[in-house]
Amino acid sequence: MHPMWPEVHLHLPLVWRAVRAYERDPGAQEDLVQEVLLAVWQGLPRLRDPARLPAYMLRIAHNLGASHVRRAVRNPERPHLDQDALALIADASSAPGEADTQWLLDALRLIPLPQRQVLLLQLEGFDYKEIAEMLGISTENVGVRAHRARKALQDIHDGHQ
Amino acid sequence: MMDINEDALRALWQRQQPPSDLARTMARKVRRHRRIETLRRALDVVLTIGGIALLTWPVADGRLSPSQWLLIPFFSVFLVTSWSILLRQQADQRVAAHEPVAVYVSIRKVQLRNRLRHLKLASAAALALLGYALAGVIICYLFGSADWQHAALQLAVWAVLWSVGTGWLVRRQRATARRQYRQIARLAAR
Repeated sequence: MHPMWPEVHLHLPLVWRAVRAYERDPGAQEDLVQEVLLAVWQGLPRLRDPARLPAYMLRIAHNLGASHVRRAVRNPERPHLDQDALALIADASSAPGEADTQWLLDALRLIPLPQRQVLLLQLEGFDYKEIAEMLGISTENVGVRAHRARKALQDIHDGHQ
Repeated sequence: MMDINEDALRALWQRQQPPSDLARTMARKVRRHRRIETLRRALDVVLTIGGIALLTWPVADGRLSPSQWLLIPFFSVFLVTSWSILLRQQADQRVAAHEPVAVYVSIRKVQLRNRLRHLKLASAAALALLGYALAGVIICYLFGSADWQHAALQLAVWAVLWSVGTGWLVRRQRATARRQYRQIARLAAR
């Protein structure tokens, strides 16, 4: 067992939250978390700075989440915010408590992948520079994607008001 | 219309906590997966050694039976295309996933294009094997003795089974690879 493995377990909630924004089915979410952990396990010996572990795990989670297709057939990504999807989100947000989280998850799954990734990393508390490094894009591009993501989220929010 | 509050959104997002037994379940699943991987690697080695032994021991023995003659091309195709292509596929994605997203996208696209090419090769190899086995049956029934006819028929049965199995696997994996390619291509969008 790698000495950093207990640390990996500490950051498991980060991975779990990221995976939920890509996959709706709880069983498939578990499979995806497992896939991420296996990739993390493989890469741990090459990780020089332990402080970078959360970012490293999230990068893997977003890479594997974005290319994950198992349930994508049943729930295809929708580039446009159609009325059925908005109605679904509106239903989910009608009840208090967990429904808020469900609303957020459903809304995030409607946002195009490049923008969704930036928004998810922002929600985890990373700044533009860190996000740019994780995604391999410029900070300006992060800004553009973040702006578009927030706009899309606002549209979804306004759509069911 | 009310603006979404960023702090509230972040708090809502970070409020999500995984089920309490997730870490334990994951540790169990990862251990199980690693055992299966070890088993798969062992199977890989056993198949390779078995194939090589099957090809070389008749030479050491000094005599080749009809079924061994017929099996030599079978294993030439089998060794190249089957487990080297169809069994080893997941690990390269995990290695690529360590890279920044932009790099991952380009590596993964190349990997998926290669994967589709490999599947095409596996499919072509299975068909070639089937063609070879059927030609063997015809030739052996026209010119060969009973030993050769029996060996050719046996090979043909294996070739049909192999072809059907490969076809099923290739169709399944090709559809997944194509879906994943389309999904990945979306990531490259600005």
